[in-house]
Amino acid sequence: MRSSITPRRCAVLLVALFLLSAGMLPVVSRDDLGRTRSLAETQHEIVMLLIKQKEYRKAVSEADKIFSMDWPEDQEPLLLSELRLLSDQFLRQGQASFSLQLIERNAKYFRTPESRIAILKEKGYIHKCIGQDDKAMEYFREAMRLEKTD
Amino acid sequence: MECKRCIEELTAFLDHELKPDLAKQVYSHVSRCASCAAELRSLKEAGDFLTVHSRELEPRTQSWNLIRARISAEQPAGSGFGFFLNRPRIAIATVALLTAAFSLGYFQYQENQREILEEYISRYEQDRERQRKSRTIFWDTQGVSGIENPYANNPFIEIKAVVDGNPFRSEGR
Repeated sequence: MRSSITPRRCAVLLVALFLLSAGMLPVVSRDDLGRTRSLAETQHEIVMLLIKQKEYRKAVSEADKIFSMDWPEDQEPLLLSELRLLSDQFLRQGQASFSLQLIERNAKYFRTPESRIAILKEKGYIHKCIGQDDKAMEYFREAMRLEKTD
Repeated sequence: MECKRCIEELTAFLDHELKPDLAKQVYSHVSRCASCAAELRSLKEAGDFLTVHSRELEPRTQSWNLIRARISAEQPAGSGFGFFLNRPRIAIATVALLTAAFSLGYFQYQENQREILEEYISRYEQDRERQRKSRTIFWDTQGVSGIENPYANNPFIEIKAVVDGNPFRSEGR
């Protein structure tokens, strides 16, 4: 039986150890997550205030910062609820276009099928709210198709 | 009359189909010529034999049935359309009926799909509303009653469970 420790594997291990010690690998500890959450919490309040002040364009830009933070994969449901919440806020202010803009710009951060389906449904819902029924049906149909294949 | 011509006319002569003049000529030739007389005799005998045995030679009903079955089996494949080709009104009516049935089926399918989609959308709307409400209502640890959630609009705020009204006591201790 051949040894599983090859010189190539040793080299890879050494490089990984070096990068870890130098803090170059993106390892998110619970402390880091706590810090990210805290930052997002504050950023969220900024977005809400901007929406309240009807500074919708700025609000979307500030919201982008929340989604572009270094989130671990298991936090996707939390981010999804944030996306839905902010989308709802814009929609309630009669700003469906900003709601759609927010979703379009940040959909790339969502990778799981569940999130993608939820995003499609939300987009469909927004289009339905603004009377674009055909487009809404298109998104819901796509969500339904994904849900069936998933 | 020559023998060759006489032999050609013998069958008609036996069947009494010749004109009287020609019949006389044939008769006089046969009376004189032995070979033509023999030919006439053999033709007459053959005719007599057929007359006597014609009933026996008739094919049996079973054979006819077999022949009929083979004929219908060997009819060309496209002959099914022959029925419609010969009856244009029935063909038009059939096409119209088929078109109507297909259209009805298609519209029914579309309607079903639309209903399914509408139900799907309405379910999402209900879920969405429920989630929105759950953000604004805060359930206590016993899940007894809902009160206004002070952190309703910020999902990043961690709500820690409070046991027995003591904020320092963790759950399970």
